[in-house]
Amino acid sequence: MNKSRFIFAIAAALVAGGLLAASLRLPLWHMRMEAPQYHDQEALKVVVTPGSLRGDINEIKVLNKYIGVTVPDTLPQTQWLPFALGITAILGVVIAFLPGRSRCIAALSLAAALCAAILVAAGQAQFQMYRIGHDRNRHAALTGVADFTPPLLGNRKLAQFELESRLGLGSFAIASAVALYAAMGLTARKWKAATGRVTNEAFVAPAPHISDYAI
Amino acid sequence: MKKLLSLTSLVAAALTLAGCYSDSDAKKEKTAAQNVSDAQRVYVAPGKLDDYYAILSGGQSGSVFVYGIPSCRLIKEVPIFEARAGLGYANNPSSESYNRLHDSGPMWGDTHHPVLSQTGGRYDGRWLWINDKANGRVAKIDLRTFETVAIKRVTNIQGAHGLAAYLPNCKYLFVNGELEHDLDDSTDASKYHSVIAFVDSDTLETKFEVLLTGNADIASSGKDGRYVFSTMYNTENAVTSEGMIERDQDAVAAIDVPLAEKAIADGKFTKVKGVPVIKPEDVPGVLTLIPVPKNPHGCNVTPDGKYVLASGKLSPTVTIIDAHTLKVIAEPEVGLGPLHTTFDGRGNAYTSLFIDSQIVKWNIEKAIKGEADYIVDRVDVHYNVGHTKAAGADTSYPSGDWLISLNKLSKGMYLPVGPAMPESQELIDISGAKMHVVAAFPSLPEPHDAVFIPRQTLADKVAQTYEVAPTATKLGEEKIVRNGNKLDVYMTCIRSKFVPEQFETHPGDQVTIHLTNVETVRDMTHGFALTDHGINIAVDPGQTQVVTFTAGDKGTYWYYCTWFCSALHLEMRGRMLVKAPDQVLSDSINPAAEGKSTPAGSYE
Repeated sequence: MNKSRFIFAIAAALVAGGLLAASLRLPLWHMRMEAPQYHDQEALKVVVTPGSLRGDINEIKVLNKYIGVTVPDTLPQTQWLPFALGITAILGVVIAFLPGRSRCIAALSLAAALCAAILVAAGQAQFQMYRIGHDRNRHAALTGVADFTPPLLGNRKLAQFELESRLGLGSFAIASAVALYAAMGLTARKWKAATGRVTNEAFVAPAPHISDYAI
Repeated sequence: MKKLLSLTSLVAAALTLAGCYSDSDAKKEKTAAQNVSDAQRVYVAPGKLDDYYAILSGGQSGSVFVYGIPSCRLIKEVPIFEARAGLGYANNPSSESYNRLHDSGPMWGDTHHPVLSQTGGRYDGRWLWINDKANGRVAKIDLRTFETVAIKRVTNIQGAHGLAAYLPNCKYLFVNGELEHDLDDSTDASKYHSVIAFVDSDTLETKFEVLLTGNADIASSGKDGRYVFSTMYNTENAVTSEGMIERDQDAVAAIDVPLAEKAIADGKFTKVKGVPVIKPEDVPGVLTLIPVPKNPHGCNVTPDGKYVLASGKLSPTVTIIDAHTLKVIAEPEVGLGPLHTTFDGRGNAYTSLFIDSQIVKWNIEKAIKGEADYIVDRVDVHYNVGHTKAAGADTSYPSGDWLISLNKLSKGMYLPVGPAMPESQELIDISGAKMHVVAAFPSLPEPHDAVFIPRQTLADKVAQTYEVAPTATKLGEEKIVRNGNKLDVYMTCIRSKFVPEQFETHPGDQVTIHLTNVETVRDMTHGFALTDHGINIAVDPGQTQVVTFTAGDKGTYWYYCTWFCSALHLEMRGRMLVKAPDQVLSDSINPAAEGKSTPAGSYE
């Protein structure tokens, strides 16, 4: 039992770590901007990965000048999110080696911390969206465009553009990692509850020898 | 009985009435239905693309016109031998396009025969070549950009008329010298000759020539790399129109290209103005003159490469010559004034009849066998057709769907616009047994010939923006460099701003603007017009254009964007400040930022 529990934990940690590593290259979030002259294939796209802001940023900047919007070159999230994801991935593997109860607490905390990190990133993004549409140059060329907040998720019509924002594969990869860390923690607890054993080995016994876990 | 009789007469009357109806109204209905059907065939909905590019030579406009087929919509004019200030082509002294044209000869030309590059008997979508009849030049257009990229004078030629690519590899273009003259520049008519020049299709350098007596007219290449053919008129070598039609026969010239290359390698030539010229009497077999009725015109090799067809012009016949034995094998009568012949790939030839104002469709094999029914169909065109070309007819695989009739007169086909009437073309459906004129469209003067490129051939080739040159000025790296009375302004433009928005000179200074369009999206061309200096350039996304001019008298001269680009298009402008010679000049690209009095141009 001990062994299968550990195997699950290490497998979950490795898969979650892999997902987080993959998410560094995957889009967390897409925005698509369609207008009559930016139609179909020519719709403008923004892609945010944990470490980058990509897409038709130049063209979006050029267009936004007319309504006094300053489009940022980079996002603050991209400064810290890759590190947060990397550290989480490493911690996940370390936690897998912890004994039962510690592993439970640590894994659940890790899941919670990862959730919090994502929420902070999303919060930063929402604030940025608000700022983009409200903190505008009042001397901009075009009049008649009211302050706005581009949608973090969903569709909205802004000036000539129909905006569509949605989560990317990276977000789902991170969500899956959260679920795996939670499962890692919860399975540790369930095992304890099911066996009814006080996990002396976990608290009292010296750390198991690596040969115990030989897979 | 009486009743029966009255009933019969009633039925008869009804039938008569019905007959009246079907005779007049049914015909009208049929015409109306045909019009609807024709309209549908050429209708290409907004946003949808045509099946073909038809490239029509612009004749005395010195350009080529690009039409979409079947819609017959004019899409672009590619200027070649004449300046187009609106497009910034060759209108600004010192610009690349100006220098290229100016260095090759006069600032005008007369384009006749567009030729497409081929690989394996099909168009490969790389190059379009065209002649300048008036000034003995050829030009090369890059089909990635539809821009002229090279123009060269062909040595020893006056009147570069027929033009064709030597098949199958398009290694050479061969250029027909139509207007005879003494190659040593005397005015002695007894020394007059013309040449057929072989020009490197890549560099456009004249490689060698074959000397002729008489005038080479229209050119067409055999398909297997042996012979190239040209119709020849005025083998009399006369200098009056009466003299040029004296003899009953002229010729089709067949040049054995491998033999000519061997003669060059063996040194059997005379150099004239640096170019090896082969005299046919020195190299037996290099030139074969095949007799045809006098003053022939069109010269067209069939898609299978078996025959050369010489259209009679003054004779109502087309002469069919075996392209390998060089023997005349048939001379079918087709109608009055046969000028050019084109093909559908199904064994039919289509010959333009200038005098009859018709296109005649006839079967080549039947004509050769002497079968009576070789004429398949005739269709009236409006009016006086010159060239005619079916899609892909120059290749080994014609499409056999569309044919264009390039008519010389339009005579009331379009809204009256004064005595100078537009040229007219007609689009003819040749996919069925009978030809059918589907549409007519006007053009500027004066298309001579046309070629069709299927849309798919260029689908992945045509550029949407230019690749930015490594030397191009980047956004934020604009600068003004002064060297004595010479000023170089390295400028960028992007919606809706030139940077710098001002520069300073003294009167008479030589100013060079290096303008880079730093846009990255397609169709965002900007212009740069400078008031009272005659300067207008057009710069496509990613492109850099250079223009040099002399600054005028002191004062403020605005430069502005000529291609409507954005909501701030009118505001997209800047100033050339020409200051008195004793005033000190600033070379700052942003004096406003340095606390000078100029109002800020930026709204950021």
